[in-house]
Amino acid sequence: MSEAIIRYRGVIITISIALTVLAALMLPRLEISPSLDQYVPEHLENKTYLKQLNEIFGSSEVILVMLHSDDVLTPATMERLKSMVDDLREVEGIDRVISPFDAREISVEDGFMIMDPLLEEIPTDPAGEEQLKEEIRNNKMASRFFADDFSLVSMMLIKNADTPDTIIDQIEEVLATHPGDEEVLLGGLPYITYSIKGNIISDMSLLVPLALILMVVMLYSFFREWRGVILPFIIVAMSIIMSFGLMALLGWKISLITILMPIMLIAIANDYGIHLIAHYHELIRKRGYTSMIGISSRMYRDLKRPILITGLTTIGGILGLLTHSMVPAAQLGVLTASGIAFALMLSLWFLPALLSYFKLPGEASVRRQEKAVRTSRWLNRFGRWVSRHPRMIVGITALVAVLGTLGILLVRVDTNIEGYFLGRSEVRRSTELINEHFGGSHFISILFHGDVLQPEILHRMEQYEEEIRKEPAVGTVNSPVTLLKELSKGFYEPGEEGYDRIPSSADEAYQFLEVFSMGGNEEEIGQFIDYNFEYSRILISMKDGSNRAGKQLLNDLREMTKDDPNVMFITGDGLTKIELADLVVKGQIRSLAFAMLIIFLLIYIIFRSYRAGLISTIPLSVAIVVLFGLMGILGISLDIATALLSSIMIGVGIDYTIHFLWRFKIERARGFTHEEAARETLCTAGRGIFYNAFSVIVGFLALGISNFAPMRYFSALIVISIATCLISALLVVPSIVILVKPKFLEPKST
Amino acid sequence: MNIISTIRTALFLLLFTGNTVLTAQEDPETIFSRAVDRVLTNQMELSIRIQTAESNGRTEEKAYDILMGRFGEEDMMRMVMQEPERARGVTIVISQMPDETGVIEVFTPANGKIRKMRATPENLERVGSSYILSDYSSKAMDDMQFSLQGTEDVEGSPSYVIDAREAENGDGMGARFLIDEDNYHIHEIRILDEEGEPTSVTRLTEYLPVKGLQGKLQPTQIVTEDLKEKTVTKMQITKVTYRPDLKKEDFILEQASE
Repeated sequence: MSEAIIRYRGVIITISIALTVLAALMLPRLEISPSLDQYVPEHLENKTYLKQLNEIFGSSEVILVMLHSDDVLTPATMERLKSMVDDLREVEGIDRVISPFDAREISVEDGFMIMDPLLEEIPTDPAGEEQLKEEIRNNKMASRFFADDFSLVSMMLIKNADTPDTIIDQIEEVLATHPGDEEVLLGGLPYITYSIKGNIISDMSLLVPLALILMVVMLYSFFREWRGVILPFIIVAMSIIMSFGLMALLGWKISLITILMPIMLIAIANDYGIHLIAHYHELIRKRGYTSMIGISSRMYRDLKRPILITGLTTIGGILGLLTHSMVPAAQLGVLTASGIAFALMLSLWFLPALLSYFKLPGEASVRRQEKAVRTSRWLNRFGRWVSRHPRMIVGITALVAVLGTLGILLVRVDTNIEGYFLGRSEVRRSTELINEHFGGSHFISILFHGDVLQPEILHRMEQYEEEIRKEPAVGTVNSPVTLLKELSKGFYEPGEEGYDRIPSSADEAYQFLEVFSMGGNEEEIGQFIDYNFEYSRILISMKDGSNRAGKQLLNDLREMTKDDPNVMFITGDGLTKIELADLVVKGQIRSLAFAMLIIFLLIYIIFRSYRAGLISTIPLSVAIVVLFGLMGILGISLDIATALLSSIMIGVGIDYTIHFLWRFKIERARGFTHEEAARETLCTAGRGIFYNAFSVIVGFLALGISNFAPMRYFSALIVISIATCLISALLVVPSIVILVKPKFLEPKST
Repeated sequence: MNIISTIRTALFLLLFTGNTVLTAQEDPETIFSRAVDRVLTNQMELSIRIQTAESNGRTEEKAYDILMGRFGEEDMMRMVMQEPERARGVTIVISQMPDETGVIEVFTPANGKIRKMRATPENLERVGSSYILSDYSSKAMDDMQFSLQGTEDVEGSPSYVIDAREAENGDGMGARFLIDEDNYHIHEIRILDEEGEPTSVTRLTEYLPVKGLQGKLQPTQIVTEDLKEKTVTKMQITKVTYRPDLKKEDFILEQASE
């Protein structure tokens, strides 16, 4: 095979480049999808219900524009808001602008129904201002636009779900034409998803180059030779292009967790190249070769098996992500595994083929290589220490594992989209203000079916509303009852029996709504009741976005309505994250089990021993326990990004154990005792293992400056887990093989 | 689009043309006046059935009995809902004098209440009637500017294309009429925005004689397509009767609980 690589090196290089160019041609087709919705599979209950709900009530989306100052009820602030409202009404794609200027004071005077605008004039004197504040507080149509302390005033922009989120750019342009002293903030789900999209683009354009630069610096510090940098670099770049090309070909969209894919490839896909270049340097240092062709052939022959094995185990571990119910996680698994497979092929065939065209390095370069091998001295000392204290190492590891297990009990799950943003970001700030003053931007609906205008149903809804308002996670509660009671004020005078009450009959309720709709208010009615009055809903906003609060609220709502024959289901975007949390936990367990099983089977096949499989999974298990234990102790939540950690860690971390066991077996075959073999292995293969782990850690470090909080946690945690895998492979595995003396590592003759 | 607006668009023809007939003199005004001279414009009773189909596939059906009259300078309209059953009897009466704030009255039979609103432009808009009453009922045709844009075939019938815009604001919103060259039936009305683009298209078909008034015709199938909202409204006029006997009392709400 090594001869074939040299014979057909031109063909290999041409095919590799052609495939990469083809993949690159697909790149313009890539699209970004920031929606949380895509993480949840189609068949899940809430998603199915949400679709039904959207078919009944439409899927309008709300963008909130807020003005923030010490006191917003001043003529200047309200004038600024009014001019913004007027201009935003002209923006194409915004269906409606609802603002405090729409609020009416409905009353009856001398038999005439009066519906005067509440904010026609803003008083300048303190007494008038205080009176207007009191009127706003008493008017539900107006008070919803103001914070209780009048430090915030808002307007709602209703956009159709089909209008692209890029409308936010137009909105920001319009707002910029109305400068003023007040701080202007945007909020709402479309703004959040738009910001996610922006952050994805920003992360992609910043993190990938940064990770590549880190890789270049790291490779040069390892090899002190530019060909040692360029060859692994080319392989990584080609595998990234190939994975994105495949993504475009399959019609998958770039999501938040896709950011991980190029970073993972930068961190992982250069490992095989590193091993090959390290071996090429080893061969150079022997000074017995007259051409690069001989070196390339030998390099391939010596390393094809361990590289293939470690490549396959990494792919196997990462394919553990396929078992995730979160669609983008499974896609990430497929794309990264494909990228690694491509990198593996390039490393085995393309790299030796390309290397064979180079000239032999000069003597000065060879000497530089020799200087770079100084790490063996401390590895030698480290190997001696490990071989002398195996029992202590195993004991300490067991203790750490127990502590880690206790920490696992503290792990929380949080999939709240608002948690993606860092504390100082504008999105985070506006979301906090919305949650605090406007009842939150996530909604839950209780859907009713039947003759929904019947007073008995409306009275039940009113009772539910009262109960729901007591829930600590709830911001606002609205239903047809709120609307009908408000409308009754236009038909009855204060003191009359029907004033601020639910209509006495379904006919009266219908006629209230009919009169209201004559004025073009169907949309307001349509938020709560469908067009033929068969369905209605209670609309609840959540000011506490945490999963715990959401789950508690959902349980309470289900308990409250369980015997109601008219309640069809409870659903809402506020519940998507709860379903997502369940998926994260299930996906974590499944992918962990799958990756461990794959690794166990592969190791069994390689070493033909169950015991080998078991020993290999020990360092991974230790790393997993330490990882989740630390997450629990440090209060880092399991989220859509950190849920991917274990599969990636297993896929990458197993390599170190394989390298160790492979070399240990060779050393045993050379006649060394277990202690000597362990020491020798740590001195030789230990260097490669260390470089390998270090390169992965450096690659993932780039995520530390991501715009997304989960990615930053991911970066820190993957560094910890790879370091744990490294320590386990270099400490725990040698200790175990010294103590257990497994047969699968013994020479065949014994 | 709310129901009143739907009726408003369809009846735009009647009210608008009712004021033009007296002043049309020359082409294209002559063509236009000949067309509108054939239809009844007020002192009439209508029964209409409206079916609205929204872009999302939803449909809604409602039926109204409408009286329209003019007493001196006062325009009056009374609409009584017939369907759906739960809204039967909901009545709206709008009365307006030129240059005066009129009155809108709403009667809801379920609670026997009559509520009045001043017919300010804002409140008229609220019940969807400003377009009819405040804008066009008293507008003299001297204020309008007509232009013949050419001819167009409507289902095999060659038709005049006539644009009508307010004379003072010739570039503003207007309407385009497609009028049959042979029988002067109005086949189509396109409401145009400020840029001359149609925002809605109303097709008028099945002209039938008006009961009680010889020589007058009435389109009985009026289909309006709102190009902005993407809704289609089919209005079927099931009855048109000339009512010279209409009195102001016919427009007074009878049941009042107050």
